[in-house]
Amino acid sequence: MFKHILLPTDGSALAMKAVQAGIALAKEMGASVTGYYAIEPAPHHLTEGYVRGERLADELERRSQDIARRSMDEVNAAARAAGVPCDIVISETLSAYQGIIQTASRMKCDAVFMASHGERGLTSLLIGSVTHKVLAHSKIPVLVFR
Amino acid sequence: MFKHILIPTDGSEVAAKAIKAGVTLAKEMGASVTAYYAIEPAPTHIYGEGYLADRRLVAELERRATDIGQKAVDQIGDAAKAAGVPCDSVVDQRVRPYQGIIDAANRKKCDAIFMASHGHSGLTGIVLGSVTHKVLTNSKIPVLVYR
Repeated sequence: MFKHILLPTDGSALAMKAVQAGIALAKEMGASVTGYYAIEPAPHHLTEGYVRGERLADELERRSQDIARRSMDEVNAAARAAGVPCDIVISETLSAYQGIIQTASRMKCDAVFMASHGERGLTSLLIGSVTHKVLAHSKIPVLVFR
Repeated sequence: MFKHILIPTDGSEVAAKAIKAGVTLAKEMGASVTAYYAIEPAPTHIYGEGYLADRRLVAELERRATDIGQKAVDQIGDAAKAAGVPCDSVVDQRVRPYQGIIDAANRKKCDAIFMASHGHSGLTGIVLGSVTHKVLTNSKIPVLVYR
């Protein structure tokens, strides 16, 4: 039914559980997956505010790239273990949900499979804010995993 | 991955699209399906505490609601039958349809819910239907929102 599933993750334990389930689903359907990590810009006060320093900014940039790379390696390894074809996308985006929607459309995914909430947990309602925004803006089916 | 999928419907056209997709998904996974329809009670001004307490009218409304509910789940049953997917159905009276959906999933031991992003009342709230939104926030099992 789905041929190509987008698996966005923020690297949190909850999101990685959803990634595992998404890969299992893809395997059953004979679908491929694209792992996605959105790098949001560091808070303003860290880069251009109080602690201005290019070395610090570079260091932060390097670390977020690292974290992104590590979560994507995890997705890749899990997909490979299951024999599911897997692509990886990392992009810088002002807000994670926009990155998710744009990547799904650029990669021509026909479904998004994601956790009900990620790293930031249940700060707002009972569904994470990124997941909620993806649900509200996505034109393709979204599977909310919990 | 999923063995038993709950497909709730309000009988609307949008829900019908989700039904087709949900049955296809169940077929691919070798899962069974439970169709669900929640009958919302008639507004109290019709039901009797207000202006119009006519028992015959109330009985007639109830009969019609049950009819519509049955037709809605039959639509799912027919689609499932055509696809060779095992299917049963639940129709019950619920003040809050989202609660009925969650309870039915629980009672039938479903491991996923497959539903449209909105139904009959359309996008009166934000960009997600209110019933879908409440199911999402209250469900303990995965919910596939179809659009």
